[in-house]
Amino acid sequence: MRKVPEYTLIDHTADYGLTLCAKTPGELYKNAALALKDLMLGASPAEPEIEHRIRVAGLDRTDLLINWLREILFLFAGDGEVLARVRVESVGETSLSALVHTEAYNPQRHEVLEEIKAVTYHQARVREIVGGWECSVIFDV
Amino acid sequence: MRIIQINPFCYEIEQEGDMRVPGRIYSSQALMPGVEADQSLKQVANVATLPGIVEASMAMPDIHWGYGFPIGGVAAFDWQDGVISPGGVGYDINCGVRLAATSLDLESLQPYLDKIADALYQGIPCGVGSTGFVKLNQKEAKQVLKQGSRWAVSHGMGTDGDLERTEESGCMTAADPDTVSERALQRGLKQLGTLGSGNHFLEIGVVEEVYDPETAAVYGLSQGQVSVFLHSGSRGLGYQVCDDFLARMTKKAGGLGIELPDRQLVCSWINSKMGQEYYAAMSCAANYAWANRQILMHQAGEVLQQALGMGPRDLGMRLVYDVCHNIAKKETHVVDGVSRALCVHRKGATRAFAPGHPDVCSAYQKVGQPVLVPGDMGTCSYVLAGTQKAMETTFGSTCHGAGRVMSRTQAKKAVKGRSIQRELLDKGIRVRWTGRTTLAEEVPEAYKDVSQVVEVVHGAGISRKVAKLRPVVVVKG
Repeated sequence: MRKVPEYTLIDHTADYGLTLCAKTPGELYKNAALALKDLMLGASPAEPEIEHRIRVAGLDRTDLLINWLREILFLFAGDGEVLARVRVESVGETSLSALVHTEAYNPQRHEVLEEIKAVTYHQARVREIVGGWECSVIFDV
Repeated sequence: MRIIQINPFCYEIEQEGDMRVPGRIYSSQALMPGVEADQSLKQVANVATLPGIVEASMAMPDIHWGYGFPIGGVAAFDWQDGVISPGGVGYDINCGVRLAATSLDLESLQPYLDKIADALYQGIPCGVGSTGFVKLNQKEAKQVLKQGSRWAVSHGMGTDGDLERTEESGCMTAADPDTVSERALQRGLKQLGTLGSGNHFLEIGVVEEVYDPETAAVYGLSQGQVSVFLHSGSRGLGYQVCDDFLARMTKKAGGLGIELPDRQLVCSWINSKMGQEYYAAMSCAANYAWANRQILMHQAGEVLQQALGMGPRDLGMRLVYDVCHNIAKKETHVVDGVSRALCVHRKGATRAFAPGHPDVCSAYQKVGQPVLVPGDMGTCSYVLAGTQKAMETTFGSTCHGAGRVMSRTQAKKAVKGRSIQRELLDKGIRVRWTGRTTLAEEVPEAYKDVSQVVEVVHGAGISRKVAKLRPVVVVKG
């Protein structure tokens, strides 16, 4: 597993949220995906065994983030795979293309720390800040 | 935002700005400071801006900060001119609780509590990634979505009497499996018959106190009696149905002609194609949840029989009731003297229909619908009864639980260095759990005092106290 990106937990009464910063939009979306994996599965190791090409669209950068994280969540919740590696190949305001590698979930190797049910729009935000980009998102747990 | 206390148990958020109706919060002086500490009152006001909302945007005393709608929110929309919102139901569609009574008393069960705790933990699939003992193919899964609890009963897991004692008889007839995505089916196929994680639980409890012996007798409950209490929902299938429609409605949100104060409030006109498709898909998820709880309760009965070496007659397990607390339903209510078809959203709120209401099963016609209010794992839970006052003031709705006061992070900090298992055992509660952080996140002080919550709904008259249950065995995911 690659280095876990730095992120800050948002203290929401019922659920979990996170906020993180990055130098570029590509890095921001990549790190948001890795942070989601970290929330769900902590430091569980994962080898890049299965390849997925993911393309998502959104109404704006925030909607794009939600739709992107929905895809990342489904890899675990639907396909039963643990995120290993993310390469964001292109990202604009309303579209993103990425190459993602995963490993099949194996309860002997992977410990689930939190069940994330969904990625919510509530207080979700992507914005440009001095020297980079910042995003916030709240997950339903 | 201006908040006025109307009476000891009711507060109003005055209508202002884009609000179409006022907000109405059922709470008390003891609970209100906690409510004002987070963003839930703002969420009550936000819901009041949605088109077609009737009378008030309401919140029950277990209100806490959700996403879009507050948890504990009740909002009714005109069926012709109103909206339906997946966020007003929540991701765990038909998350709910069911209570069964048994013929056992605590005294005779006491020596076997550890054995029972272990057996239930082994026999009830729980925790993230757990798979159920019911194997479904796509065709069979669609039957579950169509039939709800009846599917489980027709497969030998329960009786017709269980259906009568389940809200909606365990099946919403608007269900159309063709509106449910492949992704939702994929998430749900392996999870039927699983408890889930977080605040979902299976409890063995004892009836500790009876407030209304007559109603308790009708429900089949008496002091000292052992009960089985279950909290679960529609698992990944429901989460995906909600998420699919949030995404689809977001793309078309411009067509609503209103500025949403929070994207999570996205909605569609109930009578639009999208609105009807969501209602049909949500009904499927609700049916899945009812089938799930029916299967889990049946399995719990099997496990108890085996662990105690007794047959079904000696165990005497019988369903008291099953209620959902995350749902949107077409119901008829009298508003300003006129009978109207409404879409009542209950997100973390329970139906509390009065005696004589046609949707209350024949066995409970004289006393009203049982309302099941679970507390935290270390305190107690309540059985209440629905009232006419609820019909008149809250679209037949009341609270659903204790409601969180601490975030999960705060809860984990609060329990550092403590053994929650030991603390619970000292109170006579055996707990078994799966997730590493489950006990810390679900520590009793992370929740409001459920007794204070219940005092509000009892005092406001929107349900009335029947009995109190105390847990002795808790199984969590």
